[in-house]
Amino acid sequence: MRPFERQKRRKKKKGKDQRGQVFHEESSPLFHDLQKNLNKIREELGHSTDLVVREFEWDGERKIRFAAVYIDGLVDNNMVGDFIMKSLMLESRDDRQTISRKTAFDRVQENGLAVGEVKITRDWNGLILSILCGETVILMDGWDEAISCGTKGGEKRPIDEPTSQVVIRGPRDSFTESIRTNTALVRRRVKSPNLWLETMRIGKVTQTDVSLMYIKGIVDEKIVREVKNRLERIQIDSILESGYIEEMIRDSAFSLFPTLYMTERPDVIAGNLLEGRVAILVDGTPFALVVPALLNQFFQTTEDYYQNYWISGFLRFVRYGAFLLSLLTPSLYIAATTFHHAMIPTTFLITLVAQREGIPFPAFVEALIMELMFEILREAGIRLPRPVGQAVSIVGAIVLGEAAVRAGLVSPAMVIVVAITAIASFSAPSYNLAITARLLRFLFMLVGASFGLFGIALLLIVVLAHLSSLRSFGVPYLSPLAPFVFSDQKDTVFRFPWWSLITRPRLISQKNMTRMEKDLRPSPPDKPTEGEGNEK
Amino acid sequence: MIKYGLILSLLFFPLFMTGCTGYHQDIDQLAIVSAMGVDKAANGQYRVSFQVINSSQIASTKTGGGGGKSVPVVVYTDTGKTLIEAIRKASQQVTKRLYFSHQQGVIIEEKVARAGLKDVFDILERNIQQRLQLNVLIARRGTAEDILKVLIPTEMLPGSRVGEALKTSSRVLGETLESNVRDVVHGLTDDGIEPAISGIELIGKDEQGQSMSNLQESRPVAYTRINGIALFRDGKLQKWMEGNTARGAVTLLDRLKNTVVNINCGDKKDALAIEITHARTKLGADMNKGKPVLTVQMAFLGNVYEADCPIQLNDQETIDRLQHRLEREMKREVLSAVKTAQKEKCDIFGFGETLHRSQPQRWKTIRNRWNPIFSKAEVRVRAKAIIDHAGLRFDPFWSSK
Repeated sequence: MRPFERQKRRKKKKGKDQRGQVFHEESSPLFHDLQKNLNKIREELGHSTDLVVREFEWDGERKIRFAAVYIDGLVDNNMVGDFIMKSLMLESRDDRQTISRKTAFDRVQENGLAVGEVKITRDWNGLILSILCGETVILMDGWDEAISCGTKGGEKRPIDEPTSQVVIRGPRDSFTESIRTNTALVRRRVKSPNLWLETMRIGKVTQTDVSLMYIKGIVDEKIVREVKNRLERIQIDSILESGYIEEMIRDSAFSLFPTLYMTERPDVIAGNLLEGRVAILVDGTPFALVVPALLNQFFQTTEDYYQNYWISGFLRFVRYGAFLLSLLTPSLYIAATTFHHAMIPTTFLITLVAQREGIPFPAFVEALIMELMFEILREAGIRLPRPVGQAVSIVGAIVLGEAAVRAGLVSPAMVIVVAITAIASFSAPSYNLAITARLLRFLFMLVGASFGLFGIALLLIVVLAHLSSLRSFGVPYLSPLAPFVFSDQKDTVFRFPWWSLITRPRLISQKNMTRMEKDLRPSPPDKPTEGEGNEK
Repeated sequence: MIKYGLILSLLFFPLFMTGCTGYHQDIDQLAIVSAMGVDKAANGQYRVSFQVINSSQIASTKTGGGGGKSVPVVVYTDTGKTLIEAIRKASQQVTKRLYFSHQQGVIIEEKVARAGLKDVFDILERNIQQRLQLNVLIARRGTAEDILKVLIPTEMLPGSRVGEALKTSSRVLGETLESNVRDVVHGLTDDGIEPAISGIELIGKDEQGQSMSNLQESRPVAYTRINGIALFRDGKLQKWMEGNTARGAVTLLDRLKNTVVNINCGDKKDALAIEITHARTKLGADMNKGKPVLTVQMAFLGNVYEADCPIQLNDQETIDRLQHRLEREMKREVLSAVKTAQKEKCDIFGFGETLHRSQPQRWKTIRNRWNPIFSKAEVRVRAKAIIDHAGLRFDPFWSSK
């Protein structure tokens, strides 16, 4: 106990030493003297070489000295040049003589800057933060105030096609790393004044913008409040990706199942907002989060709503089936070949026995080797540069399939089992849930090898119990299946045609349930109109 | 955290439970038994034979790789006072563990069947590896062991021949009975019904039939044939029924799936073949002044399959006449089956059971005397046949003008 305690205490001390971070706990006001201010800025930023300080002066009645401070690369260079530098230098050249030192500041603030977003900063923390956010700060000699102008810009990745959620029919734009682009992409789809956006900065060091998006009037206020509370609780030095947030605000800290939905598609966010969900956008990542997320959501794709509803319903069935296959195939194979030989059709059993003859490992070890090999292969394929990755997958397929069977290490049936598992797990529309299946699969294999179908059934019950205990921001994870909500079955396993999706999901929105008018089913007109009749 | 720990620890409890755990066995350690035979050994013990599948041989022929190098099945034999003793003793010969769940059939030698089936069927019903749907056959000529040893070229799994052949012949010819363990046990235990089991016989020289050379003949020197139905009384084989009588018995048991019946056509004997596609039989039993009356009601749906005589089949009167003849023919067959059973006092049709159901009180008074009562009972048979079509044409091609 002793050494542990001591260690703990030491850690605490260390924490105290480092507490300073970049921003001071208490912010001090600016100086009056321009030179002093500039020196302090340079000092605070460690004389970073990307800091640009441009000093100039108006020569009027008395000389008035200015300085524009910004960080190169974070600002839009054109904007700074055209609308700040130029206007500051040229503005009021004619009546400069009349500008007194006292009126200069207001003059500059009100007339001297040709940019939209202008605000006054009085303390050091605010000043440094504005500079780091890509704003241009204008300091004036003799004033303890600074004007910061919204000149955010710099290089951005253009809007690209989504890579993780590809569709055949549907919009082709996806989020980028810039939160402003992302919010704009959503706003373009939902042109409603009720689409509200709240932004907060999280991360003591990174000061990352995290935005909450929801549609006022549809969203359940309780959920918004809960999300805000959870976000405010986060005291962390950095947020580099939405995954940080996801793990900090999820409902069950240890569950394998995702309780936040992740997407890089603006149309998915728009659709979810309209169902009454809350989106969390994080600056610096194209992946946005959606809460509350229910299990059935992970089996749906945005395309389900764009294409024919018959095929959508069918494909959802296929996805549920594929998930079960990717979860259970190896374990069922192991269980059947080690315990339940009577379940295998005779002719297939004979083939299996013949295949297994001469295989050195029991079925479980065989399956474990193959599944692990497959995981390694998959990992290698992702990490390697694309052209090499393809080569790896070809080599892997040959090695795993043909050569391993020829060498007598595994049976051909096992190769098929692994292949089925792999294909089934690739068919998952949500990467998050596919990961869950990947991990649980090994547990199922272990249980199947030890206790057969009995064990698999037990573990399934345990998983089901766990699933029903989960909640995502207060909404039961298995709803609308458990608790069963009859009216929501229209868009759970099936997708009913649009004209029948009259109400929003009940447990999520809670209010403003009606999505459209009733009786919108298209049908041919009852009678030919009079004009047509006459023509006849 | 405690919750998850609890769940995990719950998962380990099954370790200490009995259940399937004891049967953990990789499939490559199994010797799959495709059929089993029970004979009487010289010293009065049981002689049990197992036909074990040589899986690699069968799998390689299936995939097209050079098959025919070794035999598809191996037959092991051992003796014992009980069946399980013989089975366990056989492990001295077999390297793998015998696995019975995929058995297709069990063949019982006639000698054993005449001595009584009850001892044989206990293990077939008790053992969890045995299935109740297992087909049962009685070896008529030759021992069960010899029948299991016969190799037939077209069938790589001789064991499945037992089940498949029985199924096919029962469904096409209707003179044999697909009886499985459950049926036999039902017949052995219940009052008022006796088991009926089909027979299998070995034809040709069994010595040659056991070797690979039999697989190279276009007309195998040895083969097996499903034939006849055995009648039992008190679990002991009494008599065989064959041909039309056997078909009558199948009809009475309401197990007729499909068959072809020959009837006279004008003066020509048996010149017209009628295929029966649907058959339905209802049995009834009643006591009339102390004498039992057995009633049989039958309905058939058939069509003309072959006509070797000039006949106008588009005439409803002709069809009516044919229907009448078909009814008469089927009545004759059924009566001959009942007469045979009555003579042997073997109520394989379950008339007693029918009486038991309809008049349980009266049944109590006669259940012990049922077999003699059955043998003297009066039998009334009614039949209704419908011929619904005559195939692709009406008249035979040579008789139309």
